[in-house]
Amino acid sequence: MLVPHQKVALKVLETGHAVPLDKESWENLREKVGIERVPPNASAHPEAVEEIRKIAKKTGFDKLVEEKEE
Amino acid sequence: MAKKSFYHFLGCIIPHRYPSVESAVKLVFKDLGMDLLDMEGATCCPAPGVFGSFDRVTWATIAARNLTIAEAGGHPITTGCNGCFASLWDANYELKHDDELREAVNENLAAIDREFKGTIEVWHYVDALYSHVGLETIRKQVTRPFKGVRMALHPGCHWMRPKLIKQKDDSERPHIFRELCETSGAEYVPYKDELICCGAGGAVRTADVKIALEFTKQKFDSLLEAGGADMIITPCPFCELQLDMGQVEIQKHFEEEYNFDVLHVVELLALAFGHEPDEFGLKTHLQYMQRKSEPNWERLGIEVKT
Repeated sequence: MLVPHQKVALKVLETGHAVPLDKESWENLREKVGIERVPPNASAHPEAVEEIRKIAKKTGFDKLVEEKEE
Repeated sequence: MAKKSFYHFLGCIIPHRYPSVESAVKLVFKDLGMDLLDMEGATCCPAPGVFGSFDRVTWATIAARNLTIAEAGGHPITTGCNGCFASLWDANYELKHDDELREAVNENLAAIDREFKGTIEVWHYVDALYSHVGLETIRKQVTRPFKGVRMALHPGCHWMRPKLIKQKDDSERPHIFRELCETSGAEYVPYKDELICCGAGGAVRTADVKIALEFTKQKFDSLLEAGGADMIITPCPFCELQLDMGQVEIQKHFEEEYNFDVLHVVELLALAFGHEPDEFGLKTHLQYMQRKSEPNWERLGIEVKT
């Protein structure tokens, strides 16, 4: 597993998205095109992220992608 | 007749990097009398290249969780991303045909009080527009035909493949995406490498952006050898990102400059239906934001009101 791929997987467990809404500038961009600043996906629903974490724990995926000691 | 309604699966790149696509599809579907319903709490599809490669059951469980949101409301899903379509359509198909996988996934979903039932279908925007609306109805909405504008296509990989299972279009001789784009009145320009990957998919961009850009560069050079085009149209935001912002990155890594306007098919249709570029934010594409430039309005045949 390459580190960049591991980081993408961890990002999904952390935010619910591989490419998250992680800067105010992205919210500004949404506003600029005439839609709500935060979309109705996991970006607006922390409980959805919690569900993803529970799934990862149940399947062992969290262990598969966790950061390993060198 | 009741309006056709779809749950709108946004994915990651459309809402978080190319929101003009989200804005444009709302205009297009509304013009065509279709409803897009919010999928509250949907997550990453999850990314097929990373999750699908590492652990099939986790990939299918997260995809199935997204599917259960639509199942609860009883409407099909539509998405404008080839990668999201790959995860959601493939997982939906596999879970309906593989009892062992379905059992494992539902055991995982039970931990969050959900169950995959297999009651809905997944449609790409291209699919929904072609099959549910039809080309003739779409043509009737066109008030700003792209007459004389030369249009190259990048269909991408996942919408049609694997073709024997998906049965959407012939992935080696596709025509549906072309016919949909041609409703805009633009002139289709074929080029040798039209069907190769943009370079981003299969987790390649994540692993090594320079290798990903070599694919992109090959596509651009192939298009230029065929005489060039005034715009490139794609049905996928990840391909759009790679072809659009990729031009800035190619300049940085290879010191070669390309200047193509790259549009998602729903942005093309929004313009063809008479919407102004500012109504959905065409200028917010990352290429323009980073280069501090604008679309080539003259080449696109669009008169911009100032």
